[in-house]
Amino acid sequence: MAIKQKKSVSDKPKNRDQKVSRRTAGLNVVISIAAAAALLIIVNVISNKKNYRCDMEVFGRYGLSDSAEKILEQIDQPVRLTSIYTSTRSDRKPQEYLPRLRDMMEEIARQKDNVTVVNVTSDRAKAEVLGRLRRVLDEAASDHRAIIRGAQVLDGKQGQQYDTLTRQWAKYRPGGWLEQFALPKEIEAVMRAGKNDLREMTMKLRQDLSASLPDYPDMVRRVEVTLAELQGRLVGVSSRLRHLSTVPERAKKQRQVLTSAAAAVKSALAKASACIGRENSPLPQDSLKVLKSFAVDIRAVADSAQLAATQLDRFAGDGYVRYARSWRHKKVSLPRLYRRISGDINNIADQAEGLIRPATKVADRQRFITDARQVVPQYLAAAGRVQTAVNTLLDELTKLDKHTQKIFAQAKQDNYLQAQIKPLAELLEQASKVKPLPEHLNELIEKINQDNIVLIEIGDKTGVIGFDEVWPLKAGQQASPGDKDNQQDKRVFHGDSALCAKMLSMTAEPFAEVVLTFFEDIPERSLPYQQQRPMVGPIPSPLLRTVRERLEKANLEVTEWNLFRKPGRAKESKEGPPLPKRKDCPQVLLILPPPEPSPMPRGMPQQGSQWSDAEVEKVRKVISRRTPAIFLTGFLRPRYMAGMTMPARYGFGDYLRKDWGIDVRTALRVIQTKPDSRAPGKFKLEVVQWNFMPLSSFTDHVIGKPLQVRRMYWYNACPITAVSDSKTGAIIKDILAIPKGRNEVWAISDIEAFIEKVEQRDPLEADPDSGDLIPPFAVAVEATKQIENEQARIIVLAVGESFTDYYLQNPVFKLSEDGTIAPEPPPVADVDLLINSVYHLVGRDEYIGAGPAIVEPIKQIAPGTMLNVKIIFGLAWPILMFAIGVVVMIVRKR
Amino acid sequence: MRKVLILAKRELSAYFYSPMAYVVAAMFLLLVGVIFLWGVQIPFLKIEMEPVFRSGAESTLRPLFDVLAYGLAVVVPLLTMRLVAEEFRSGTIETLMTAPVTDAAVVLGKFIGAFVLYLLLLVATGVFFGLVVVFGKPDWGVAGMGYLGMVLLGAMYISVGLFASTLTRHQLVAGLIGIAILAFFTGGLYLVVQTVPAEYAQAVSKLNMITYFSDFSRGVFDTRGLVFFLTVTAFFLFISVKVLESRRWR
Repeated sequence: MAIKQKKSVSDKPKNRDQKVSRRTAGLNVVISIAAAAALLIIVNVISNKKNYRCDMEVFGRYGLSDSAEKILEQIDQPVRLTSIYTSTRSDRKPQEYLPRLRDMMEEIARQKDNVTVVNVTSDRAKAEVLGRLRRVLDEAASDHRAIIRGAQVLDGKQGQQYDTLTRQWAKYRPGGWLEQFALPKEIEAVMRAGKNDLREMTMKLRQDLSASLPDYPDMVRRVEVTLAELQGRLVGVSSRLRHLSTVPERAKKQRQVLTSAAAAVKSALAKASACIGRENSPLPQDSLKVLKSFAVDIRAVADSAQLAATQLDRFAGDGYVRYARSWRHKKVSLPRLYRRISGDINNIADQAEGLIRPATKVADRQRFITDARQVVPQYLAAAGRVQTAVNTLLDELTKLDKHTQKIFAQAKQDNYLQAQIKPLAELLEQASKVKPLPEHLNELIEKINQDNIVLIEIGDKTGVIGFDEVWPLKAGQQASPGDKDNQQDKRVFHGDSALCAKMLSMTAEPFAEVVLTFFEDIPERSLPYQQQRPMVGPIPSPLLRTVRERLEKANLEVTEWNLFRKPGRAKESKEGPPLPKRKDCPQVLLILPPPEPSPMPRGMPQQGSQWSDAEVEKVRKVISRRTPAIFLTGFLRPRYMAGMTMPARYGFGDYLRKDWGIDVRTALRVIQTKPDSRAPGKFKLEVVQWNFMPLSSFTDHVIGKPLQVRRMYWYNACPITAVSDSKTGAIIKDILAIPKGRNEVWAISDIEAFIEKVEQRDPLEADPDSGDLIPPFAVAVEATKQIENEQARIIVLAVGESFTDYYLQNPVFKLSEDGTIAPEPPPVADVDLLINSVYHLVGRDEYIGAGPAIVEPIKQIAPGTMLNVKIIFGLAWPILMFAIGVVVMIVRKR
Repeated sequence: MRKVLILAKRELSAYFYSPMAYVVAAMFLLLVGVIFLWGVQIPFLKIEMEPVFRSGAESTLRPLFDVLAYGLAVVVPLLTMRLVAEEFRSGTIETLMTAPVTDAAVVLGKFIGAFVLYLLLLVATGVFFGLVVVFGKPDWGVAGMGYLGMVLLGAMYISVGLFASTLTRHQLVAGLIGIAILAFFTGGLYLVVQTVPAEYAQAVSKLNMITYFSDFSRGVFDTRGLVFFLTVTAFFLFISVKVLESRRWR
């Protein structure tokens, strides 16, 4: 026991020491690990702040382009990029299209600290984003929402009122005064329709409000339309009742006049009838005397009938009396009946007067009297019937029932339906004052429901980039025949240009001004009888709405310069383009082809001003003052005059030839064909290629290079060649050209003959002897030259008609392999050629999107080869590794 | 350093004298081959990946590397799980601890041994890159950076696996711990990024090992990634040493 105690006494300090040392060691470890962790964090934080980043790519497929980097450098505000790639369409699978976009967005976030990237792939996350956007939209659209709320309240309030009114009118006393106008049923229908329209409107509004981002402007438009229609109907009812309320009084007042007029007709007829005697009485001896008297009497009948008709019309005025049931007798109105009587009687009077002449035979006179004796009593009976009808009409119009009297009492004071009309008018007035939403919110509403979009939020602005902008279709028709893989519809990634350009336009002021220069006289209001045709060229400026929008989105201002001057008002014509809106904003002329002059023949007065050299001179002056220009032109259809074909004249053709050494061959049309299997060496034209010519053979010029793999279609292109002996000193560089050896493309000279050949399915080939032009030639060029020590620059795009709304807003039709024509998205990429040209001319090459990287894919692998590869590298190679292990194990065991 | 190399050599020999290296290598190459030549289709996980090597596809190994970055989070811990745990289990750790080598040298030697094996596995994937070269025109910059990223990522994974191996005497447990840690810092954080608000998502994604790898896989050299991989590797090696040291005083 003593020993045990001794031992325990001696062990205690030792254990304590061990515990202390363990604790110390443990503490040391914890501290050292914590220190290491801290060091890890500090080093990483520092490396995140100060890092070196180098893109080692050779093809530039994943990184940001230089232009994108430059644009990002300029953006100081915080940016939030949200990709919403949740499409369920098989041709827009997020798993196929999102990764590349995500890479690029992450690359942007790495490049700029103030960029936040969000990838939305689930419906829940999408709903969150939409909820946030909805709050922004709701705040901006408070006025719109007030109108919508007002409309809903209106339905709540007026719905019951219309019900009550409908019931009231349904109970309208049968045979009541208004029944003769069939008005109660009509008003009942108006009330019922009013209620239904309001109900339908609010139901649709409720449905629209449940959308993620309601289209408030459209909803307000629909509210306006519904309320305006309803207001129109109610005002119509109200004014009709007000007008009718005066009718009984007027009828009373006019009764005497109208009944007298009707009686006068009848009594005049009776007198005339008495004059010629009854049907069976003997014929008068002095037929001449009787006829003279009859002619006077019967003419009086005609006049009195005419007077009765006039008085009835005067009584009815422009009002609703004409709709009264008794206004018509056997479906013919009473005045018309009197006019008929008057007309017929006048004829009889004319005949009677004709027989009064002395040369007339007695027998003829007597025959007339015999006939008249039969006819006149019939008119007398008719006049009696009309007189009765007039009396009935007056009776019905003057006998007002009590119910109607009450309604009229209100109508006379202009109070009827005012309780319904006034709120409608107030809401409509309020709606007319609603300010439009900012453009970026309209774009948001329009595009948010599209498949696969990218949302950009910078400050209080939002922008949306659609799928086709990030993934445009790839050029497909330049592949060699038989290369099916390349002819498939494939998309190329164009995200960095699309996103960065959008961010730039959302943050920066426009850095250049595009002056749309044209020669047009479009009458503001063309009245039908004026028959004044607008004077416009082949590319009318009003048809460039899409181009204008795209230029504005590309951070460019668009203004206009109309070279047209009205005759006699030459002073009003501007000698130069409008002054730039900002001093440091360079201008670029975008010159449309002018209309061809069509002077009137000698001796005839000239209609308006015509295109002349004076306009060319104005443009020349501006260009020589260092303002660059883009000429849009193309194939111009020949004119047919007196059986002759006259080539069309391009207004700037001479200028470009003489000043720049550029020959724009507007009389030729570039066509693209395909090899004809029936006739080797010859070609055939697919009809769709006539309108949609796929051509992306851009040179390495800075404007065209990024477009080399973009899907672009052209219409009515014409070739451009250099003038061979030109001494202009201009340097011409091709942008879009057809190289030598591309036999399937050429420019035709005789369009009629060509179309005939195509229609007859003849094999096609270029015929240089008849004027066809074979490659090489260009369809887009840039020219530079020194003018008075200043460098002047122009670009000529001979594909001008491809920029019209008609071309850019409609689908491209393409012949599929099974021979059917399939629609594809519109060729919107065409505008990039124009935008790049403007950027280049204002010295902003850095903003020209780099375009999709050109990367050679893995070659076509024959199925047999692929199978071998799979067996060797997919199976044999791992098995070999495993076999080595087995051998090693066997050797080791031995 | 000589001792470290001797230990590394011993470790490497141990791999090759056991069936482990061959089985793992065969599995690894099979996995790579399947992804490269057949693609991956797992409908219930909504994973759908076309073969990397197919007519008309991009000439690159990038999709393969991107998938492998996740796949290695499972493969590497299987390689490293025995490194220290086996020593614990067989009792040879006592001999090693009493030998004239420091704990750091032991950890470093084992790390280098496993890393060399990993490099050999990576070299074996060269045949697939060879196919891309023969049938396409790859971007050498992207390929080079991709391999560099795989090397750095592998080193980091091995250090994590090694750390897991120091924690237990059971290989399987070590393997599972390693997989769990790596799964959290790769796929787990990816899921976290998807759920947290965007403001935090960017910060969370900086903890994700794959975030830095993706730079390399698309051909970008960024010192942030280099520093991250090296420091994390060093950190896990350091704490592995500390765990090993703790055996002396625990």
